[in-house]
Amino acid sequence: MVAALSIALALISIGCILGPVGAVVIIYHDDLTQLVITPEIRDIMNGNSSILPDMGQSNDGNSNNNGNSELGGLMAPVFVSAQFDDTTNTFTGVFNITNSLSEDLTLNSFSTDVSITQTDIPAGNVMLSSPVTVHAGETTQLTVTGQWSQTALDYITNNYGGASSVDLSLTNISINVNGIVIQTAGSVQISVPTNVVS
Amino acid sequence: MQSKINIIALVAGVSTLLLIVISLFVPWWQFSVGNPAIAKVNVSPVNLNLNILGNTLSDPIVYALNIGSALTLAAGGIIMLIYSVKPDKSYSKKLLGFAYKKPLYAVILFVIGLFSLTFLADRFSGISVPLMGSSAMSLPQGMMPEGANISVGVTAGFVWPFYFAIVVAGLCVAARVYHRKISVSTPLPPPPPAPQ
Repeated sequence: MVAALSIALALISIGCILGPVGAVVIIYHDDLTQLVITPEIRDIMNGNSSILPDMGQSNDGNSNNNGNSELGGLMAPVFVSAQFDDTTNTFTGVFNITNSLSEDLTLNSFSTDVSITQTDIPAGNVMLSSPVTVHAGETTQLTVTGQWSQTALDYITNNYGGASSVDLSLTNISINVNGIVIQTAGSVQISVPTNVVS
Repeated sequence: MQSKINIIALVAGVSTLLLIVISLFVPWWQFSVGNPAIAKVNVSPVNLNLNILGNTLSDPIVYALNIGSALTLAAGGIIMLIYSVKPDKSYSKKLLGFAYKKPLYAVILFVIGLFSLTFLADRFSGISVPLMGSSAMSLPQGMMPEGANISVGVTAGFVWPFYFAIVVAGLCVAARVYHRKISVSTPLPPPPPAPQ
């Protein structure tokens, strides 16, 4: 009786593990690599997953997205309006940002140095005025502020008199979304309406 | 004759079954990326999954091993219950010997696995994963877009079911120790009458 029980207990021990493992081996016998690396995991490893946002954008110096720069691939800002205060050389820009993910995102900070693309004259810097939380699937507004250098303003006044937009380069971009800090060493080219800078 | 019950084994058996149910829903160890978290790794012997931006990823072989762990623990819990009401039978020690080790092995293998996981992550991907606490984790250059630097705030820590598992393992060991007491205090059956 005790010997039979010993055998039964040993079989239970083995069967509890081998049963489920054997079952998935049979299910995936056509392609055993899927036991470990599922198609979803393979997509993530290859960098073409629909789950993860594309973080590898625009540091080649050739992008131009009309003032709309993806925030680390997590949120897409769309320019709404801007105001310029010529007494203090400061501007305020308002953007709509949409969170297309299923998790809430908090943009804690955003800052960048700005220069005029044609001449590389430093134009100033831009930063987020206050942290913004965008709930999953929703759109909200964020406000960025910045102060332009007098040199850049003089250059724009003298050279962009009739132009509707100015090409600017963003460098040293730093974005903090949900505690994930993304810093880019390259530059992003944008085109902004002249009323933002003059 | 009054039937004995190993009360510690009874509690250990019920606790083992309770631990399985709890561990299905609450991890023993959790690793969160970002604040608020946008990715989480939930680890327990019966449920290991990765949640990225609301999408849960699992792996067939890991899933099978999780089911295996759950079945093993369940077998241990049920057999511990059977033992607890029949602690003085000839086969009782076999039942107890099988059952009391299961939660203990689960805790030991879990800790070894977790240490191995963090060690291997550091060794092969260069990602330093904390076992407990918060830190800023820099992604290796090879995993980032060219010219970019990504630093991720991460939090890791053991969750209360892990500590409950340690208590359950302790109860199972205590049941084994208590069995000796029962064995010693059990009077020997009267000798058979001598043949005339």
